[in-house]
Formats: sequence, C-alpha cells, structure tokens
Amino acid sequence: MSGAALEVRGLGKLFHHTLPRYRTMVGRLRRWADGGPSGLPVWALKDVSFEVARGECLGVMGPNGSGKSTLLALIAGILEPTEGAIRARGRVNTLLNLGAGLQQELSVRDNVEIFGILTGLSRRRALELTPRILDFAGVEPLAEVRMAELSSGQAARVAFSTAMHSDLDLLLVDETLSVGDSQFQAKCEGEFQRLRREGRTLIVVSHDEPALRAVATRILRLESGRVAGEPERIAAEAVSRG
Amino acid sequence: MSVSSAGNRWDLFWMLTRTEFRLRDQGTLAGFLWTLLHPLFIFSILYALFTRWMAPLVPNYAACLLIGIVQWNFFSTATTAGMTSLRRKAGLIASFSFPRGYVVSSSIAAVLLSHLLEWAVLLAALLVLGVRPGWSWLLLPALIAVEVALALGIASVLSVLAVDVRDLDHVWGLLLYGFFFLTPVFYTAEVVGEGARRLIAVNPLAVVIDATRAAVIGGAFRASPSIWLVAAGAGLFCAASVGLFDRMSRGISERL
Repeated sequence: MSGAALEVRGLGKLFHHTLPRYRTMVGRLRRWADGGPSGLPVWALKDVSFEVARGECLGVMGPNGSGKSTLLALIAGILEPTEGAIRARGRVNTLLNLGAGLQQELSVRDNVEIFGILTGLSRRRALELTPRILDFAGVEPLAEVRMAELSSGQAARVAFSTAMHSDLDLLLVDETLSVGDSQFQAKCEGEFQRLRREGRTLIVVSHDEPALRAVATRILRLESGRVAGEPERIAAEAVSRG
Repeated sequence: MSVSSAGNRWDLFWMLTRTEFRLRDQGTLAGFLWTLLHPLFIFSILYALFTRWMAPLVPNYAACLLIGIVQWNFFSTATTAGMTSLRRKAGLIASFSFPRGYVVSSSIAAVLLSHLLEWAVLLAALLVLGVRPGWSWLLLPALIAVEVALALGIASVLSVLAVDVRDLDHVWGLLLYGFFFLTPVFYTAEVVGEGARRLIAVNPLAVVIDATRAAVIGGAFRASPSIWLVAAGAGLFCAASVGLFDRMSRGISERL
C-alpha cells in the first residue's frame, strides 16, 4: 500500500430504488405475496479507482447524477460500498450539506456547539472555539438570535466556519463553493489553501469549474458513475492564484 | 466525523439528547409545564370517570392513578419518539457518519429527562395526597431503568422498521391504544376478573407499574418473582434489540 491519504479501489455502489407504493405495510405485504422486485437497481458508481496524496486537493466534477455526492458519502462512511475498498488515513470530516445539523429554533451560539460536536470536536473545545468561529463567520453580533433569523448565506458561513475549526486530516466538501456570495467563496478558497499548507487533504465536489480550478490540484471527472479518463492535473500557479 | 474517544461519544449523545429535549419542551419552564398539562388532563378525566367505582376498591386511588399515568405516558411517548427518530433525523444521518443507535437512544433519553421532572412533581403531589416517603422510594430509579430498557428495546426495532414501512406510526398508535386498556393504568390488577388478571400478569409494563405503586404508595420492597423476571427479561430484550438494530440499520442512510 502507498502512503496516500486516501485510496479508492474498484469502488462500486448499487442502489435499489424502492417504489413509493411499496413503502407501506400493505405495499410490502403485496410485494412479498407477488414476489415482486425489491427495487429498481441503479449503479451510482462503478469501478472507481484513484488515490489522493496528503496535502492534495482533489476536485470532483461531473453532470447531475454522475455519482459525485455518492462518492463523498462512501468515503465518509455514510454509505456502504457494494464492491471495492476505501482506505482513508486519519480523521475524515464532512461538509456535505450545510443545512444538516443546524437547528432553526435554537440560537446561533447553540448551533455552533451542535455543529462542532457533529464535526468531531469535544463539547469543551467547541465552546472554547465558539467566539472565534462566530467571528470568522461574521455573525458575532447575532450569536444569541434564532438560527432561523439568519439568511441562508449566513447560516452556510456558520456551518463552514465550524467545520474549518474542527480537527481533521481529510475534509470532504460538497457544493460549498456554490453557496454564499463571492466574498464567502473567496473565504472558502482561502481556507482550503490554508488547510493544504497544513498538510490536510481535501476532496471538493462542485459544478463551478472556475472556482474548483482555483483550489484543486487535480480534477477527477465522473460520468454515469465511472471515472472519465485520468484526473487532470492543475498547474501550481493556477491553484496559488486562488 | 470522529467519534473515536469515549468523551466524544458522550458529547455527541448528550448533545443529541439536549437538543431533542429543548426542541420538544422549548427548553423553558413554560414548555415543561405544557408537557405536564397532558398527563394532568388525562388524570382529571380518568379520575372523574372512575373514582366512583375504583375509590372504594383501591386505597389512595388518586395516587395510584397518577403513578399509572406518568409511567404509561413515558412508555407511550418514548416508544413513539424512538420509532420516528431515524426519519426525523434523516438529514443528520445523510450528512454525518456516527453510530445510528445514538439517534434512537438520545430520543428516549430526552423523554426520560421530562419523565424525571414529572416524577419530581409527582412525588410532591403524592406527599400532598398523604403518601409517606419511605426507604422503598429508593427502588424508583431501578424501576424506571426497567421501563427505559423496555422502551429502548421496542423503539430500536420499530425505528428501523418505520424507515421502510412509512405507515407503521399509525399501526403503533392503534396498538398503544389497545395496550393502554390492557395495562392497569386507571385500575389495579386486584379489581379485575381472573381472566384479565392472567393477561395482566404477562404484561411486563403492568408488572413495573404494580411494583412502582407498591414501592411508592405501599412502602414495600416487593421483591416478587415477576418484577425480577421482568427486570432480567427487559435487560436481555434491550440488549438483543440493540444488537438487532445494529444489523438492521446497515445501509439506513440510503433507505431514508
């Protein structure tokens, strides 16, 4: 085995999409009695292999339904592979859905604590870091208001800032670059550069090719669940411009 | 996420519990008072309806009824909250990797926090009703633990089934409705006929409620074989259900 931060070998994921009518008690009994299919089989990923070196930022692109988010969920351990193997070294952290884990009825300060613990911080550490996280997100004056009072961009900043302060070796980011204003996007890119300089590894999924090219050292393209060609290497100067 | 250390696991469990509790009860005294209103309302109706028949047969019927309602309320709310927990936390499960059992157990723990507060109010009410505190009150935590084990065991299995069978909530609601009448909440086992008494004897919740009444009102350390059997059975059932949950919940994120 190499010393890569992440190795993915022959990865495949088969989903069985269940029909809505089978999701009730009578529906399940009917399916059982008819001996009907367990669901529509769809390979979201098939035979995907690649490696990511420590300190690298791998960008993942592809059209809708190409398997990008499934790939991140598999690496994060949220989904289980149908075939193949994933070997990640160190602590894996995720920023897959900026809204998940945020509680609209609780205060922004409480949400930093909740999101911090979900991203692997101890409660004590999350509380210690809260002022810094709020400051970084630019929402310090709003710390005590309900999360629901924040705009979607501000809420995204809270989640992103908290994740950036968590302990991690490998960060998986899904579509964060398309959230928030240009100032926030620039902040994201700056943070990704910092993480790389610190030797952390990133995998970033985005539809925004220019933004991805500004942060990624290589770009992997997925099409219909398969890797399309060799990952494209991005020139170092193009990355540092970001 | 990284939940490798015991400290992180506890932080995660406590955070999920606290969040659920605060969202349920709005984290305020007023919110808690609202949740108290439900058992009080049920108590008022049942007391008004049955006191005429029960009071001559059951000593301190008001205290008996209060204990029955509070115990039943926990069981009913905890199993229902636990059953729907995976579906309610679908976003969290789809975005973070952590032991899925924490979602169910923290839901039960949040209901348990309310239950403990209800017990604090109930014990005060029992003093007003003339019940004398005794050493047997120390049995209460153990009896509550047995009920928690029963609720967690049932909710662990139901929570996974409810992901695949979306109308299970309705079925469970109906079963609970029937189970309420088969459990001595507003009556005691002594006032029913032999046939019904045999049914009650095999109902673990009935045994727990009966033992609780004996410990709190009767001041008795009633170590009847049934409660020991139910306690051991609840522990085994809970362990088996949690094990089953681990197997059944594999791939749960894609089924949600």
